[in-house]
Amino acid sequence: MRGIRGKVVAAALVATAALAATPVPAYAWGFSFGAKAEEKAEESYVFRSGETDIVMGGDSAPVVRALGTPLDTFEADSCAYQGKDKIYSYSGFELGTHPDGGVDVISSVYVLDPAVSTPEGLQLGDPKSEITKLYGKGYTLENGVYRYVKGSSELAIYTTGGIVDAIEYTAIAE
Amino acid sequence: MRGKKLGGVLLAAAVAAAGLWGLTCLLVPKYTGRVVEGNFTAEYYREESPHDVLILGDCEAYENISPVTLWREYGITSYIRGNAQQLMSQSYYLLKDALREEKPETVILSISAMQQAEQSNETYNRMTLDGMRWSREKLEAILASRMEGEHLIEYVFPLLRFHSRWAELGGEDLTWFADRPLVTHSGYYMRADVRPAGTFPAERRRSNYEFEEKAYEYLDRIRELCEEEGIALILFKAPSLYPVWYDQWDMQIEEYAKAYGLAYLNALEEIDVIGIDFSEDTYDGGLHMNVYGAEKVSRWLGPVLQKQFGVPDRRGDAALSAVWEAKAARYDAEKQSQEEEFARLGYLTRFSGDETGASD
Amino acid sequence: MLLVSYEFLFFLAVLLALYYLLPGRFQWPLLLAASVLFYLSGGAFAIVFLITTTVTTWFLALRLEAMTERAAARVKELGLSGGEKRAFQAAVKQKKKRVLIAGLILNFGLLAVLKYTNFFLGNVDVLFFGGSGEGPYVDWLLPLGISYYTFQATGYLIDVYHKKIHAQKNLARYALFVSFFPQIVQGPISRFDELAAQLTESRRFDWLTIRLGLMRMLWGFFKKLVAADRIAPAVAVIVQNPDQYQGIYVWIGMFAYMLQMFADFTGGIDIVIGAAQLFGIRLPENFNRPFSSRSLAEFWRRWHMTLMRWLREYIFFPVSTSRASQKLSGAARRFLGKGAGRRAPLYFASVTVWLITGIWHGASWNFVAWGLANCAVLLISQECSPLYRRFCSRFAWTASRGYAAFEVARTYLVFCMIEMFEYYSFDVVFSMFGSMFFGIRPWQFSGELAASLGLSAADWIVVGLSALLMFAVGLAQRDGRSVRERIFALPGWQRFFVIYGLFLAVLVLGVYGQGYDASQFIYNQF
Repeated sequence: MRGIRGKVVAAALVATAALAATPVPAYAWGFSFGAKAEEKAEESYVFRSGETDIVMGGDSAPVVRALGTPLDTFEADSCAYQGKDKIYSYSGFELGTHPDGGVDVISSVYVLDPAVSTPEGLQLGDPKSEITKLYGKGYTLENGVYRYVKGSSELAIYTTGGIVDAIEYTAIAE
Repeated sequence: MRGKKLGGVLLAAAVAAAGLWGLTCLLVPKYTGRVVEGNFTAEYYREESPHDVLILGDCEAYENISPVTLWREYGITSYIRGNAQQLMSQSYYLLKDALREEKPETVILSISAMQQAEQSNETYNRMTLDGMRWSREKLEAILASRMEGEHLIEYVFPLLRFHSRWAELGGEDLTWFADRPLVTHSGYYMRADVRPAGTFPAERRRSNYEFEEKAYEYLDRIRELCEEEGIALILFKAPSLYPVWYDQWDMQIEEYAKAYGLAYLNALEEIDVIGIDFSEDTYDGGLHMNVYGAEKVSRWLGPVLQKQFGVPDRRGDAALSAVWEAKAARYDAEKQSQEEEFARLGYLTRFSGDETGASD
Repeated sequence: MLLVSYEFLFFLAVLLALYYLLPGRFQWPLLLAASVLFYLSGGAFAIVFLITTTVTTWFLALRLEAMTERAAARVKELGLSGGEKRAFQAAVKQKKKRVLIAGLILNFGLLAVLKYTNFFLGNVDVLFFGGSGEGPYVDWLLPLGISYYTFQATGYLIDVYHKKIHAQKNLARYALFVSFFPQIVQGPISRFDELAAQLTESRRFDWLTIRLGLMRMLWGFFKKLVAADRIAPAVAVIVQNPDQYQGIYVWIGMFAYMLQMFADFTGGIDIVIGAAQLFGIRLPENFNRPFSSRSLAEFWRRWHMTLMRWLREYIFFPVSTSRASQKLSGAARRFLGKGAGRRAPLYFASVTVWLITGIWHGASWNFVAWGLANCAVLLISQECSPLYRRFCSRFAWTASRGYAAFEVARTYLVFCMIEMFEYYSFDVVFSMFGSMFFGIRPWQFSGELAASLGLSAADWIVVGLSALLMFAVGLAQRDGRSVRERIFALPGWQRFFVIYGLFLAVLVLGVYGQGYDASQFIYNQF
């Protein structure tokens, strides 16, 4: 009985041990197999001014600091002081914030100037064909407004008569 | 022996109920600090005399019209049933609730709430509805404006909603255990400070300017209720420079008013007639009127109400005069005290403080 | 439907009223209907899997019983005896085994696919695609309680196979056993013989039972809402930022984590057992003062007892007496000596059980490592036990209360340290061990860092007091008497104040409702 049987058993044991052992070094080096799928990065539309990336829903304090002194700051208390929305005017665009959990988070960016373009290259005055060329077909169209959603951010491109005349980034409230 | 046991049970139940009631009174917010709006709804029930005009709406209603001025200069008795971010549905139910007590001749409805079909912050719902007396209207109002995460049982037992205040109890929770101070002047929220209007951000585009169905639904219901009761309904837009009142929105209200034969008073188009000076008449940079602006708006509304809608001048009525004289005295006293403080400090201490500040 | 929700309390109240108003024979069908409703409230589609497991185990159990009965009848019929009888019975046993294996593969397969597909895909991704994370993954929601009811149903099937119990012929009665709503969310895992008969008995209203049940639920709500949910945010902050919270915070994090886990799990089980008791049904206990354990082995006899019982009965014993195990033992004896030969079945079975325990708790290698770490500590301490006994007999002070307290603290510490494997990779775990003992620095005592955990001073006081209360209750249970019964034996007004006080504590101090929504920060202004 020892001959082949024993060898098969031994081989099986070795194979099992080897299989069981692979996760140990892999694990020790910090791989967490099970969690990989959950860690898909949250993507969102990002507006860029100079070197500063403005992400919807992010903390506004570092962004405002990086952008420097705004041309104008507008603050609006909501009814019964339940939050103070702020809109900072910069050259070419406006940055809106909304309080959330004690922090002013970025809630919107509104492009004002045809000279300013989105990171993907869209500008006010572009024809609507540029929209689909730069952002693809994953939009919803309503009354001439192209809306794209990525993560928790929404990009709304307003057109009148086929020409882009307003671009707005908003954070989608959860 | 049985009787003793039953007696014991009843005693225990009574003590338990009393304890819960006491805790509720202790923990419920008193709204006597920076934020007073939560007391508005309940204050209505303290009125001792009827009103010919009822004003409904959100902050555009309760910050831009002064009932004491309407009385003083036109003898018009009025009350503002308004709350922070009061939805159209809530205005409807507050109107219905008021109709159980009295029947005004005219209702002024501030239509700025048409922009918002659903509530944005649960705190506004609580501030508006907690003060309502329990009735079918209150139940329906709760169900109509409920947000996700709100439960009816938390309205029935406010302790379930406000229990977390145990860590934030202050002196005012004992002072105002069972009672509340008067915070409005017939529903008007007085501010005598001044912050001139500056520049505003660019007007943002919208993809859809149609008011939502739910808003129209309650506008219809208010209109129909007024028709049933023989009340004249006036649609009103306050002179706020921000948030933007789009032309498309204005048109919809105009069309609605025309379709149903309602008056639509848009104060934004009558700024010069009213005589509003945005460097003096606003306390928050053009969003709302202060007391000076509100009085001007009231002086503009008064003649319209009397000549077009026949609202009577009741200054001849001795009983009413007595009531309103007392109100006017209180009004003047607070106006004076706020003016004095503003002149001295440049701001009002009660309403200053940062967003996360503790109650004043 | 969450256990801690207005909906569940309302559901329970209505069900209770109906249960005691209806005549006896409608009571258990009512419970079945309620259990189905409860399950559907968590999402309509998932009940398909519950039905599959219920029907397959019921059907296969009947088959097994039928096969046994027919075999006995055949033996009598053919007049078999001796060697023939044994051969016939062995053949029948083989057939029955195939039926059992089919049932187990089907149900565990279902569990494996639903729970572990992502884990499997993740491993494939690492092994063949370099762990880019871009590989396929599925988005399935785990059906409610699948880990629990699968074990419960397969336990039943195995018991029928071993002829420990008779199969239940009535599908509805059996379905109630599998789906009984209080236990489906988080156990306890019951055995058929201890639960099934109770479920279908008809009952009369008994005020004392109701009171005991309500009291138990109240205590469960207290632990969960006042203690566990309050400390949860602080635990989350520490666990997710190990690099920021070193030294003393590793200790704080460990204790807070264990407090949360204990209060949450035992609180939930108290609510479950209390709810069942309202209907006069006794569910098995899942915890027995686990933090009074003086060794890790004892701990695992006091923590999550029904799971450990299931693993012991259906995995450990069968594996350690299996042929594979015997062969392993033989091989070990030949290569490593008699000692190894004796130990081999134990080690083999232990590693198997702990691998399963690990993977049952979570679908990742972290959990497997946690399971194996537990196993390692247990086996090592078992190996050292003769040494340890000699040590104890040498030194008299080892019998003192102080030493017992030390052992309790040591067990607690060991368990906490092993828990860390669930969250972090080896290098982080060992650096945290190091930080715990050698990394305590003065700057860690700053108020700012403490405040960053998100709890106010008042919150910490409440946590501390509730921990003390739980500790006191634990001490009071030492002599085995139920604390609840003692409370109900108190004179009227004392009893009232204890219960009312606890009720108010849950109502006021409980972490529930709108006040705790992070976006409501403005709320402080009132």
